[in-house]
Amino acid sequence: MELVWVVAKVCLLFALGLYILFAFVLVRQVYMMMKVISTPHNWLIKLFAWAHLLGSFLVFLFALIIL
Amino acid sequence: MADIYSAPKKKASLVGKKKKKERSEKLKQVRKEVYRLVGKEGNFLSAFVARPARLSFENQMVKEKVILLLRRHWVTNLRWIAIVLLMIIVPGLLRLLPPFGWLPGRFKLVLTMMWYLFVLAFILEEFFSWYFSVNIITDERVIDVDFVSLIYKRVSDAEIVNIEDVTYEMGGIAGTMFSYGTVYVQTAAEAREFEFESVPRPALVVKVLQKLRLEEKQEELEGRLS
Repeated sequence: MELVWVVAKVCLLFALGLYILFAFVLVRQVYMMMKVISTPHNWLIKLFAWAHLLGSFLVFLFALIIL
Repeated sequence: MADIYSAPKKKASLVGKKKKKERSEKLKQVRKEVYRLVGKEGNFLSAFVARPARLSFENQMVKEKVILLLRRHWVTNLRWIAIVLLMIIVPGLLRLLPPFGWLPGRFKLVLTMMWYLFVLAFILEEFFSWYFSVNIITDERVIDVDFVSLIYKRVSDAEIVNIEDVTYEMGGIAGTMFSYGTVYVQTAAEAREFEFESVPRPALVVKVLQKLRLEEKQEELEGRLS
């Protein structure tokens, strides 16, 4: 039974790892789009993208500790 | 031998200058009319931003002025906002189902957090897709920026002088109620068509494009004559 939870933990961590990759791609994409259109409020959009990446890191760390 | 007669060059150049001045006055008038039509409105989250002060875009020319920045009408966002609201209550509903209830507390917590991360990603993806998919009308060109997905974008532009036909389509309950529609811009080059999808006040957009085309034609004429 213990093995089931270990496998579940690995699967969840793997999914979260993929999610971090996705969050990173999102940041890159935001920077790319900002090259196309630049407005004075771009910093706010950047902030959202970085906060999302940071959030996904924190959830990964949290899952690593708690599971 | 001394010249007996010399042509009155001064007078001819004076007439030319006067005509040139008249034409440039006409151009200025057309531009004023365009500015009067669009006014000055909108903030960075608006779907209709007239003469944005500090907006620049890729490959912008030095003296090129942005007249309109258009996005899809905000009403078109309601669909994904409704989906988000439904997604937010999903973990609460799942708690009532047995398979989720059997899981240890720590797994439930992480799965719930993962779900909300997914919801956040969905929101960001939809919002960025709306925010960055813009149509820009400058005094020289129309630019269509499509943020299709995270890994795919398309940027195309056409000079106003190459525009052959501008039409708009407005329909449906929401379109009529909130006054938005799709503007089609047909250009001469390679039979390309630009589509400004679900933009607010399409009739005004068409009118502005017509005025700008007129201005470009005047400019072209001026260039040819001078």
